[in-house]
Amino acid sequence: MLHFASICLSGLLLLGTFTAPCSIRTSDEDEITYSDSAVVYDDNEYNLLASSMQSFSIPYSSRDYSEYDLAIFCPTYTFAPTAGACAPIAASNIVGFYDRYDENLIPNHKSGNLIGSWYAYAIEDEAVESVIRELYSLMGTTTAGTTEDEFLDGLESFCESRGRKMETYSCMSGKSFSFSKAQSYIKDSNMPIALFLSGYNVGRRSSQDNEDLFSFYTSDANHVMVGFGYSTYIYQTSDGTLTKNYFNVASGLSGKSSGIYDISLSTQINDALAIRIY
Amino acid sequence: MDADNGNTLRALGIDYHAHKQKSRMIPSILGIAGAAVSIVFIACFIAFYPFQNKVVYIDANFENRTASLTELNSELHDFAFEVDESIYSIRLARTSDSVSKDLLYYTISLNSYDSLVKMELVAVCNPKFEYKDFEFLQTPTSKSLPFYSILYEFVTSPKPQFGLDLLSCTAKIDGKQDTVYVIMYEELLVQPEPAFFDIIQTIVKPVK
Repeated sequence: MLHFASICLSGLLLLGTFTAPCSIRTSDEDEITYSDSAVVYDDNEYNLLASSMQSFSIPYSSRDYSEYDLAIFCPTYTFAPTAGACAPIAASNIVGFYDRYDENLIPNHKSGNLIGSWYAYAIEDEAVESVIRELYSLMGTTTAGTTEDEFLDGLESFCESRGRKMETYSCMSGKSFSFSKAQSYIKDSNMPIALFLSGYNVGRRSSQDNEDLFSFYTSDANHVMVGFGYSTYIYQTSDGTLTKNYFNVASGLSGKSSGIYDISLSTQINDALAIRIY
Repeated sequence: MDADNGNTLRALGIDYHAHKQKSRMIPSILGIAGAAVSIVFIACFIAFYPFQNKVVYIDANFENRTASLTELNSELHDFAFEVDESIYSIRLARTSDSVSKDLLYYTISLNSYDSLVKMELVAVCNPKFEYKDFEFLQTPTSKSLPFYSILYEFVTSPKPQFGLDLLSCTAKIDGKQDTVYVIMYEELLVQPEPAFFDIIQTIVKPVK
């Protein structure tokens, strides 16, 4: 039954994919180390807190939105073997996503429940922590972090160790991020997106009387997290039309393991890759 | 000394008027000095008062390890956590400061086996530690439950893709020494009334 489901999924993924896997090994971004350190050091080696909470609202006269999620509850693992472990944690969230289709990816772990037409992933357990440790080792991660190359090599080695393969698809147009490409890979191809960021945010949204309220944790650090869904909000405001694009992310951070990521708030997307494990 | 109009001082060769002037200046100098000290004291008090009981811990020094419910409850003063492990899968992490070795907080992650409820709670039992990654988006509502009061905020999001609504909640329960933050609570609303208050009371209990 599981094998049949796996074959069906592979077929669906093949049908839904319109572009060939990209090469991601030769780029300037390889030099960036993703460590999610919330502390930066100035020229005098004094540490400075580089994270903060930001709250604001968007008043509107009318609002339209669209959204899509790969599951009602997505994997939101956060176990960190040491500081600077955001890359193996992000990779584990991707592995956790595909564990739904191949339970051997994370042995001794129940990935979640299919309830009606939607899927809810389970929370992390010891088996997931073991996989995070394995990815940490395969990526050669240190407290200083992980480069994008190390992330990809480590994740590929992990997949090979499970008898699986991995492919990546770029969501970039040249050096610029393409939200529409990412949307397409999520919705049409059922793939999560690995986001390689310099500066990031994770937040919440609430609504009241023609006003959306937001609270974001923002950090200047380099960070990797995973987009499992997206939403686009188009507001008619007193200043005209305002379009906001968000990913629904697994941040990898304890205490804010899931939330929305505003692609235009204190952040730069260095690279974004849709990842398939099959 | 005033009675002889300074004759004694004059006899001693001391200028009476100069001495009188100095005598009057001493209280003035003392007054100015006292005022200055008071200003400095008040300024220091105002500047440092909010932090006098708090220690600034640096995020980069935080370290986590897994923990047990028994360990968590042994550190709490006002609350006790009870989790029915036939209903919920549970993960517990203990966060401490690697420099001072101070315990900072516990994170309790719960997921109901029916997958309808998922939550993350933070229990802060170190009064010197200020948990900063929590805030309400709107003015929270207060509700008195039988054993404690809770500040909470509900956000209901329609999920047309899945054909139901998702309730998100953040909440805070203050004890005398401990604070419990509900930093993430998500419930799939398969019934009209959310189960949040019933659930939280079965998990967070007052110390007997």
